[in-house]
Amino acid sequence: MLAAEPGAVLVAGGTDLLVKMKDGKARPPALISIDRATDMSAIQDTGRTVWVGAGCTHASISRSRVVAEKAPLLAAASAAVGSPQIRNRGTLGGNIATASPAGDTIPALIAMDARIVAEGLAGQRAIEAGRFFLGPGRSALGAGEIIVGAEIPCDGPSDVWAFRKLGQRQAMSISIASVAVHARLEGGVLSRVAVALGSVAPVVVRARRLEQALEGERVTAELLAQVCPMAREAASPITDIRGSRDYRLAMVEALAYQALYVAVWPDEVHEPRAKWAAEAGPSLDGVSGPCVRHGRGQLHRPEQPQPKTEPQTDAESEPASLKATTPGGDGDSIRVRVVFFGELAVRSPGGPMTVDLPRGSTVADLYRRVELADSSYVVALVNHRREFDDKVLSDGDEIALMHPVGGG
Amino acid sequence: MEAVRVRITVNGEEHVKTVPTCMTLLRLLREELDLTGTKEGCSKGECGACTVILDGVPVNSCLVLAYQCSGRSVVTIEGLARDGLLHPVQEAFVRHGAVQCGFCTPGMIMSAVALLDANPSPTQREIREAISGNLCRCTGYKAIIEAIDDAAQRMAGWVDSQAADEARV
Repeated sequence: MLAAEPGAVLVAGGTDLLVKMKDGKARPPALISIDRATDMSAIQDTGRTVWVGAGCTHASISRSRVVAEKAPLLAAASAAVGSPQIRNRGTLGGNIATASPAGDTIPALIAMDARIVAEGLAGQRAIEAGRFFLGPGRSALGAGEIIVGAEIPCDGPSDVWAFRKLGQRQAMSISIASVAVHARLEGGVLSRVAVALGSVAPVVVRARRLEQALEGERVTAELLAQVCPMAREAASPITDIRGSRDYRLAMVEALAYQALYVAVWPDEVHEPRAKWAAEAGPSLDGVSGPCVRHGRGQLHRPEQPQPKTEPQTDAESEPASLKATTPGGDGDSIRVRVVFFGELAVRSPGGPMTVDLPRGSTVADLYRRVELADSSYVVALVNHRREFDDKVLSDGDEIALMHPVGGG
Repeated sequence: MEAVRVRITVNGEEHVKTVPTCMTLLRLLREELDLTGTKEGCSKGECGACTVILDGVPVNSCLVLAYQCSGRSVVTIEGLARDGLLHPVQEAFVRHGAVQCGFCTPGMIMSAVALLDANPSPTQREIREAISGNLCRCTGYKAIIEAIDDAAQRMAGWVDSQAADEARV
């Protein structure tokens, strides 16, 4: 069909193409729908590699057991795309073909050393993801060639990974900057380090100097803090509506630090290891994510990690979301620190307090304890991160309570 | 403009329509089938006002071409009530006042129904995730989340009674 209609564009989910067509930015003479080409939506574990068909939706990738086990970095990146509605339609092939520097799966594919498989009348060829993207919207795909899928090396037991995306909000946003990290961690020593940066250059780029600085090194939080400024060297961001050049440079350094930290010490971060775990729905219940099998027991841990990216309101408070264990509480109870802001600080309950709660208590339990259960519109930040009623508290958490200020 | 024949099941009823190839599912629903409960907001997949359930999953109908839905099944807000009784999610939205101007409501409800179909007892985080592609500009998310949570709890009983009804028939 493509040979008969040389200008035709393949469309799968249409989540990007239809927007461009409506804006008049794309006027294809013909569309060829491949959204029901089921042979393009296979996910297969082929032993050394995982095959993900171009027609796989982001929802199917982020919920796939095979991807979660063998290529979890791709699952996390797919889960960061758009919204549930977009993930139900948008595909991996579409994300690759669009070749946007902000495409969420692209840093992941590059960091994992994936190969993109294209097919034309002359046959199939595989192109390294790192060489596939040539510029915004430009790729190594030849005329008449289509993307049939990606071939991703399977993660081994000592492979570690992380994906970090900064958008203007958590859902449905185009990234301001993103970082995908993939590396091998053996006996506390990093090797085969790949750090891919999204949205900070015309194409997704690798932070080569940063990677080299970590290669073969025994990783500590101090080392990460020392080398992460090198992430800026690979970036050549523009100033646009989503962020200025300077802001992006600062963020790419911060995200690189966070991503490397999370990759090395996934346990110490108080958040679901990957957003896709929450999205996976009932079918994945009981599966606690790929970080479980990462060999964390053998890690060399720094005495006291010093995250540099989280602002601290209180010199004594534990580093926000990257904190290590905190003393206080015993086996059956936990001790948390509660601080109040705005009206809650001025009237009741007033000043900061330390509260002991039964282990397993949630934010809702804390509301009851501080007699705020009946007052509506209280917002809780647990270790500087917005959490909701069902969030289970841990020993040493700092909970900030406030009324949100709203307006329309 | 080329035309294409589309056979589509909407709210359980099969329709055959000849429509332009570039027509979106949203326009097919609103203009050809007069199902105007589904709203057009941004028309680029940002706002979720046009959310419908396509073969069991929520999608932005503004970004789906009508011809891509041939042979498929769509549920819109009009397809939720049964025998004059609102769907439990709709009832919960009424009970919690989870509606202000109402424009986002059909899309919100379709996202919520799709969530509860797949996951009958979601956590708050899962509810928030499920409606993360739906914008409400009246700042009404709190009541919406409470309504969905409430609906989930009531639906546990509702699903049982539906099964019992069907067993009687």
